[in-house]
Amino acid sequence: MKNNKKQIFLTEVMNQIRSKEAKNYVANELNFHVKEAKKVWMEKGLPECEAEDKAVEQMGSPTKLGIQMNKLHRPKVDWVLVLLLAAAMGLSFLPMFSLGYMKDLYYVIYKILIVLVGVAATVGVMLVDYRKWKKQGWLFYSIGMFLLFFLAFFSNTMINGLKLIKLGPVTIESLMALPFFYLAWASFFNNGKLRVWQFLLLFLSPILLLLAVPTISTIYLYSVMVFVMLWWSKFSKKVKWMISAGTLGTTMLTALLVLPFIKSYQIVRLLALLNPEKYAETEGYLILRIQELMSKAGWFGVTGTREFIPEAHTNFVFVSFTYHYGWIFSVLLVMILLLFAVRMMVIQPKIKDSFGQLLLIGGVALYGIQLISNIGMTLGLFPMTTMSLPFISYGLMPTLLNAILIGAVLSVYRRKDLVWSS
Amino acid sequence: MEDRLKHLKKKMDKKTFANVNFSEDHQKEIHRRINQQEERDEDILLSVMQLLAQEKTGHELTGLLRGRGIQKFENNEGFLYTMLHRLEQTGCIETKWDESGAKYYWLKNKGRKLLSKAEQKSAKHVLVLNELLGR
Repeated sequence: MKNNKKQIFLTEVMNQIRSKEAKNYVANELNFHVKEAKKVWMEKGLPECEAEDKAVEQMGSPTKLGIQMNKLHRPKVDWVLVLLLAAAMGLSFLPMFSLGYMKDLYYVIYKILIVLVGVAATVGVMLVDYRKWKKQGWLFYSIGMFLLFFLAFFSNTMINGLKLIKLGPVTIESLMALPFFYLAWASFFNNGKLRVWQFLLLFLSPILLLLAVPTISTIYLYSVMVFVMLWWSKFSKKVKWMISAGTLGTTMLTALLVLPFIKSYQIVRLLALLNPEKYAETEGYLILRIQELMSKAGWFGVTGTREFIPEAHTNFVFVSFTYHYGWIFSVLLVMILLLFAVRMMVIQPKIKDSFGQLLLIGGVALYGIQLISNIGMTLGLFPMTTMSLPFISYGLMPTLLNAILIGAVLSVYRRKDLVWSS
Repeated sequence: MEDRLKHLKKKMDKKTFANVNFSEDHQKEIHRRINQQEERDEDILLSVMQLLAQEKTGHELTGLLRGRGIQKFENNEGFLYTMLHRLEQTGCIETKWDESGAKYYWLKNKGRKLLSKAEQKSAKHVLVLNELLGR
């Protein structure tokens, strides 16, 4: 009974606030205020009960206060990102039209499903309070490892030498493990208790499994993401340098050991990137072919004659997009996709929670590197590999990966004003 | 229409207002509000911002505002927090929770710049303050 009046007051304030997280955030602060005010009244000689009642009375109308607080702490949605997502998802249908896939019912239904699943993933992740993930690093890491382990040793499908798991209409690729490692590393770095050897062990184990899949592009995405997050984490400069140098050293050593086993065609592939004309008949062919298609496109794209474009709806979707819709459209597309990264970087300084910041940094890294690599690949600046253009490439896994990333960023944004401790 | 509203007053007296009594406390409160000096919200906001040059909790702030003779938050202390939260969201003030559960507020650079501009009292900056007051 002692707390009665205060409890009634706080409950009434909380009743007016819709967001569950904001309720506690506001109530905690008001509770502290009442406690302090009560102390003052007790010093003035009032008995405890009366002092508290007096303190509560001084607070004013709980209903009015609650209504105002509700207005202030309405969950925030970053409409810029939502709009960009809608635009990107819409634009991802364009290559389907130009490539004639829209006539094929199977492709159409599957594409629509991909978009719907992507949107659902973004909204779902956004609604979850990201602060709950802070302590779940090991859980996410285990899920990621389990997925990779399963892919490496129990895969049931092989496409182009890549191990996959086919479950009905869904094909699980190694990309699916990345969101889990993304959340896991944000949590590990936020704790800051990681030792260098622990870091190396945790960092290299997924890579070993990825080598068994084998997929160089996922390893590349994973490594870039982890290192960008490392440099933003709480570790001291010294530790960051030590970890980076250690990993680089290990990689170089491995490279030296592996060098004799590298097949000559793999070296030729890299050489072809530098000088495609010399290998025009073999490895350089694709690079030259794509350059040719891109230059034919012109400002408004090619109409009428349809030339064959390899992997036109997945890895080289940017080539087919430019070829059919022209450079103007294609620059517009790149702008929209770049705006995702720009927007995330604009939000980042506004986030006070260190875990939230790490999620944003990791998100920008993972998203940005896909974008840059894919565009670089088509412009002949980056080795050809499996890399999708975020949101535009056809495929459930890449779309889902980026949808989850954007969802995580939106979840952080939603709660940016509700930070408990700095 | 007339008929339907005929007994409204009597019914209201019997049911709705049966438990309402106009106590002496109510009377006092009304008199206090009537006699309360006209306080401009802009001035209160300026006072809050000036006081936040050093970090303070909301409770410390109410005491200091009372010391300055500002009565807006008398028996209305909760509303100081709506003002503080709005300032926090606009990025004018920085906050920090400590282990005891106290939340400290202090002026950030953006708020400091705004304060010095507003203290020079140009009409344009009253508009800026209006925005901070959520109007």
